[in-house]
Amino acid sequence: MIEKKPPAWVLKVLSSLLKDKYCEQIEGDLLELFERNPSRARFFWNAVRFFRFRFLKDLDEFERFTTLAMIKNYLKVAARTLLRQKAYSVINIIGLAIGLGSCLLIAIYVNHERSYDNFYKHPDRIYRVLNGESGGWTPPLLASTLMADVSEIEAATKVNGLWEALIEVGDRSFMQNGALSADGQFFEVFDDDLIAGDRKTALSKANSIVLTQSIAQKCFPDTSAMGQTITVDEEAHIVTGVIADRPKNTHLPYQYIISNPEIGHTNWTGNSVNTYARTIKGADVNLLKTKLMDFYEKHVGPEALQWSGHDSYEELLAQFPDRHFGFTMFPVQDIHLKKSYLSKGSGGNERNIIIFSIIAIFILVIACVNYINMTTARSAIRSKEVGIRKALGSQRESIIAQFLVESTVISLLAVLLALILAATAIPAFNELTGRSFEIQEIYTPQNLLIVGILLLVSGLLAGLYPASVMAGFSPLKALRNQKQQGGKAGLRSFLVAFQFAVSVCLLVATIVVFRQVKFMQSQELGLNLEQTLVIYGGTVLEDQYGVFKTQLEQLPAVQHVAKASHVPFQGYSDWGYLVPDEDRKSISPYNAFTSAEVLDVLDLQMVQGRFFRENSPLDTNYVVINEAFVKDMGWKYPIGQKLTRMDNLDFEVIGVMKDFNYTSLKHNISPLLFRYGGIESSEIGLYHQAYILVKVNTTNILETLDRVEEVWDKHAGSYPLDAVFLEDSFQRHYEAEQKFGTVFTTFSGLAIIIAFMGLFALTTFVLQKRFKEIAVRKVLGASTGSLLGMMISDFTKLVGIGGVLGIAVSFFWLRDWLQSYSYRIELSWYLLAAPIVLVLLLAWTVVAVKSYRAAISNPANALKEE
Amino acid sequence: MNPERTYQLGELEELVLMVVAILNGQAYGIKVMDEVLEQTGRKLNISAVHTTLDRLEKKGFVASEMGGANAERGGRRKRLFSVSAAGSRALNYVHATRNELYAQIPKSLRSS
Repeated sequence: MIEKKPPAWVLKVLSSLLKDKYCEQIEGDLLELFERNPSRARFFWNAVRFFRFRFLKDLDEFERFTTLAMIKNYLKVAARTLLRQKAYSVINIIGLAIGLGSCLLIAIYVNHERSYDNFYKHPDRIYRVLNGESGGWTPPLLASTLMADVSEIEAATKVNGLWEALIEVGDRSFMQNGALSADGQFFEVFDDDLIAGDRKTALSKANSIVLTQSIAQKCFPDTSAMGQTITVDEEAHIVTGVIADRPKNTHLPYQYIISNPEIGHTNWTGNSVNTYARTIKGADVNLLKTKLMDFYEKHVGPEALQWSGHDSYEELLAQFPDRHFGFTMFPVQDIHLKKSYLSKGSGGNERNIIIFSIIAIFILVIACVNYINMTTARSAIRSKEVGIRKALGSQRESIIAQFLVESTVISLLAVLLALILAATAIPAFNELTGRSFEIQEIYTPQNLLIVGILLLVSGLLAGLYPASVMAGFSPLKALRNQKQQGGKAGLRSFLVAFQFAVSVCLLVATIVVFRQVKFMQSQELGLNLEQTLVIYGGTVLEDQYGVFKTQLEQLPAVQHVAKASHVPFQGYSDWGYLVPDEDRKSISPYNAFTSAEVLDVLDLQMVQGRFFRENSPLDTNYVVINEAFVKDMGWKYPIGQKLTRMDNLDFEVIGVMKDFNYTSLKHNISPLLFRYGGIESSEIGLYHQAYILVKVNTTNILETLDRVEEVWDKHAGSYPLDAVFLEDSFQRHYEAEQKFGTVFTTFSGLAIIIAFMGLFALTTFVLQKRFKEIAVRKVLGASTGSLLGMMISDFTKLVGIGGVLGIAVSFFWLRDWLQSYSYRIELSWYLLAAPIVLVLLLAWTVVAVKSYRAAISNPANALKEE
Repeated sequence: MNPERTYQLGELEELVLMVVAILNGQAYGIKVMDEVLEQTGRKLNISAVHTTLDRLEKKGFVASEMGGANAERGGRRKRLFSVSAAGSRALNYVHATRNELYAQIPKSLRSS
């Protein structure tokens, strides 16, 4: 028998990994077992089973890993330092954690906002086609003509929506929002895949419907939705496709699409649809731009001339040099942030994104500055440790490494805390931003990468300066017990001033934003919104409106009932009119059809002439305009003036209303024109839509709503009542500002808290350093008051300088911001001064409270130990 | 002082400690493993024996010294274990408590 040998490499590995104490006996026993049973596999497995922590070498026992051993030591020292100065550590870690947490949340928000509509296969080739440079509404002919005429355009689709529709499936019925209508090209433009159905044909036939998965589930919980019948707004549709639920980050969050096939449109001036187009691969955008100008001239030009009255297209262009005669391709990915008014979901705001990013960076910088300040200020205390390390042979690099490890440990703890903070703050953050983030979204690889980068940056940024200061200590001086200056006081002062500049800047901004919102809400509107109920979808009443109105008016709580095609704060559309004389002066006022009662419901004031009369067919030839209209036209005697539409019907002005605000106080009041739509016997349909306005006079709102609903149910078939108070929809216009204000306040509040935490810690260390000086001053006769004054005046300079800087920056920035509002507050001096005073007072309190103890203490205690 | 705490032994520890006592100064890894197999029929892995011995030593119940080298075992020395004073107190304590408990078991349940 050949004598077998145990595998030598196993023994080698064992001897390099096992502790010296155990190595020999273990090897011996393994070899003895091998002699007994010479199986190499057995030997290997027995050896493997000795890999237990108790037998393995500790990290620092490996000769090759002295660096690791040093890091272990640094970690140990870091832990001890942190534990020794708990208040300092807590301030530092919490400050950093708040900073990092805010940064993280804002990063998630910013990323989300920037990711809109990027989930298509070729998002960069999908465009919204705009009328002129910004108009969202386009002629229905546009989509099909674009495909036929422009070779760069591969597909184009016309869509309408979103609205809320009545869905009936079997014996169930419910209102469902997110209805979109689109033609057969829809999925050629928006290239995401259907789960079921054929993308090419799904919407090509009339009365087809494509559902998102969750709607399909809701309608047909037990069976497949394909081929089933659904009734939408009382019209039967067959399900021809199912698509995945729309991601959160889209400007087009439809729930279902109803087919809207090509029907014979002939004119180019009725803008009634939205158009989306998809370009061919590698399309030349500039070429496309010129082609679209020519396209406009060719197709829209003749009709435009017909109604403008110019002799040639060139003449028309010459008269309106500022107007863009053409269609514009606007990238779909930019809609959310850059043209949020085109969004069919909740729009974003590019400026807010930038502002929030800046705040995030500010907060992080303030937190890091805190760390730098506290660490360098405190470094004097640790000069002995550095001295000993140097005396024992530490290089400059290893001292720097030590303090970097320490700051990284602090950042790591801060990051962990920040992740917890961010997760707990998610619900509140959703409330603030109006988005719906989930906790898991914090832990996506991308965000963890951001966290990692933040960790490294803050660890290095905050650690590098204090580390290099301490590495520069002279060991001789340190060991001779001479306290060394921890870094340059100048830099530290600069950093404190900087922190306060940022704090004041944020504070001023917060105050201004809030005052602006308050100001807008408190403006006199010129009409009475109180107790006005708006009922949507009045068209379903059809010819029942007259009866409905009469029955409503019989309710004791109802004062007036009116109908209108548009109501204030819900958006008006502009129609073109011109004066039928030689000048053919044109104007595009906002246009609405109203009944006579609107005057009473909204409490409008007439300046001249009269309003419409109830049930007066003659009034369809008359219009009522507002003062802005008169001013725009330059009419001296507006009553009796004639206006015409291109259909050659003349309208006579019979009255002028006092200007009232009907859009939002972000904008000025623009020309408005009311036409008569109040003949009770006629169908209610006023230009496709009708609102019913009900003026109530009651304190019992709920009871009244119930009564109104009873009457509604009698006449509206299966449609549920959908009503809001006008005042609420007015307030909704300021939701964006209010949210912006709240987000702003929250984060600037956090920034200011961190800054004050820093000031608190800094005062503590400055006092520790000037401990003896204060005692000597006291012995020589300084009063408690004068000592406090001395401490305070030092910090006042810093806070003051920072404050002035902050105000200067915020002044220019806010003046710019306010420019975007037609109704805006003035930046008065007290708006700017108040934050400085506030910050100063707070700073004084912090410093005075900390200093008071030092100032009243017995100087003997400080001086006896020399 | 709570003796239950002081003399706390796991079941395997107790077994190994007894075997070390039986072997009387000649105990080392494989020997203990063989003895346990022989006396109780229980098959232990060699690494488990080492772990238990190490644990007993950390608790102070056994002491160890390196034995002499010879040609066997690839020239590696053995670590020889012996029961310490604390160890023998622990053994006595364990034995006493077991006996005391056993004595209280009704006669009908004891095997003759």
